[in-house]
Amino acid sequence: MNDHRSARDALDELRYALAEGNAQRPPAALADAVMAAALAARGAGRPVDDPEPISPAEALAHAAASLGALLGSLGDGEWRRPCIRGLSVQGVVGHLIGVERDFQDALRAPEGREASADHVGSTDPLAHEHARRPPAETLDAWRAAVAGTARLLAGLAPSSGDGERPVALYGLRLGLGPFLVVRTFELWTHEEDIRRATGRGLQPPGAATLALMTSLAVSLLPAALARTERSGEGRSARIVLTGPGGGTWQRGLGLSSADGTAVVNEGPVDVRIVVDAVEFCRLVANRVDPATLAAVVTGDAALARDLFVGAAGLALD
Amino acid sequence: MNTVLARERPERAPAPAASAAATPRARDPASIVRAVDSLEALLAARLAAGDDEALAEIWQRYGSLVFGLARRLTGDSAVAEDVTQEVFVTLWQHPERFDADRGSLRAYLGVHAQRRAIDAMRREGRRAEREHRHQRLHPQAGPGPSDEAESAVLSDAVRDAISRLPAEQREAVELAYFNGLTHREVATTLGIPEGTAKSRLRLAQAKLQSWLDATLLELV
Repeated sequence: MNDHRSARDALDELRYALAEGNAQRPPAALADAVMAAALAARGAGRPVDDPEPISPAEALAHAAASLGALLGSLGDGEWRRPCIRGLSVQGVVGHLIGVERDFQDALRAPEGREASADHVGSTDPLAHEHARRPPAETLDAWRAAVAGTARLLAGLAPSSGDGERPVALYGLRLGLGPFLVVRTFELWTHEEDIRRATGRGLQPPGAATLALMTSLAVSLLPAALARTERSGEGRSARIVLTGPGGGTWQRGLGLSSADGTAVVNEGPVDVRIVVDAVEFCRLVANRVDPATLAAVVTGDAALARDLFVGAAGLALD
Repeated sequence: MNTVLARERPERAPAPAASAAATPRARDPASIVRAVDSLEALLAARLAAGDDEALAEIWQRYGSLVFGLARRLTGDSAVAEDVTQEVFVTLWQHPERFDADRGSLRAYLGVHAQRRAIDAMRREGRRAEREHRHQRLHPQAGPGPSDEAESAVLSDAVRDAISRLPAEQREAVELAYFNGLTHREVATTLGIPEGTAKSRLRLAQAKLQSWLDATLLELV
């Protein structure tokens, strides 16, 4: 017990510890009545602090604004700091400029044609080129690239179906909405890379953005598991992501499974996983080692391990 | 969330499968308290995430305590069922109100069960009052619902322990506990500095905890 607990708290502990001696089994029907009343008040799976939903485009804009604010605060020396994959902070921003270019190409490409398959190879020339430029030029170029993407997205008329069509890029083929969430993941992940490289504290996205990220990540778990040698057919998992942007999902793990996103189904599951929502997103971004993820796992631990390894493999890097 | 903590008390909640083969380590009481705190914080986090299985686990663990308490305080099974339902539905709707750093889930649910039982008794009392208006002319003497509830819950063991405290400490505990005064109010009532009141309560708390430990083990 913590020192700051008051004497009254301590006495309450004593009183109710003693009161357990007078516990009385409630009528059997009361358990069902309590659960039914609780779930009528707040549906299963729904987090208590369910944020006001935002669109994937808004989430991407928030992520870009957050990264832009960070980049604007960096000193010249910080731009030169080593960051990831042998790139400096400036090299990572150069990489992101390349990603904006490729993404814009993908948005303009005829349906079914992949703009670029190699996430790193395609952007490396820009990453290395920018690493040699003055930081202010790189920052301006990145801001211009982000603005170009935003203009392109704003020009997609919802009625034309452009917003629904699949986007094919870097080996991924997703609807535009989910792809924008992938891009949000990427901007946040590299923002955290730069924060680590420059000794700044990590900063999770807002709850509404996180909610989009966690929903997408959970929906991709069958694909994640398929990357390992384990088949997910006939297997199921309950995923509890705690903290802002979290929620509870129960879903099949086979590639043919119906999407269990944001739905809690009844029935037994093979594994239950409870983990912090932000840590889960860092896992999916391959920034947390699957072996050291601070998760509470109940059930098939080997299945959970494969899910974690597969989830980390979803990252583009 | 930490699998190591969950290993400490596998009987309190499903332990991580990864820990199934773990050899239980020596149980340092302080580490067990931390483990329970963390486990209950995890339960609250699961509730907040919409994990209805967490609510079912809490029901399994504390449903009988809450119902027994409500039944004893209200003397009415139907009212006790309402109180019990209210306590658990409120926990599900507002799990963030439970702070594992401040105390156990058992005490939190107990306090709420008691408050709601007292509220229910007061409501019943008001209804009876409306039905029997003449009783207003003869106000009931003696303890009110709150006092009855307190005395019903307070065991002889705790009463005895409090009576063994030195007079100064006993006085402070009685004011804080029976009268529900804050530490500052205890100090004002006794005409002593607030720091002195806190010090007396701290000493009393330590003594009560050491004296009642054996009793707790017998009764739980």
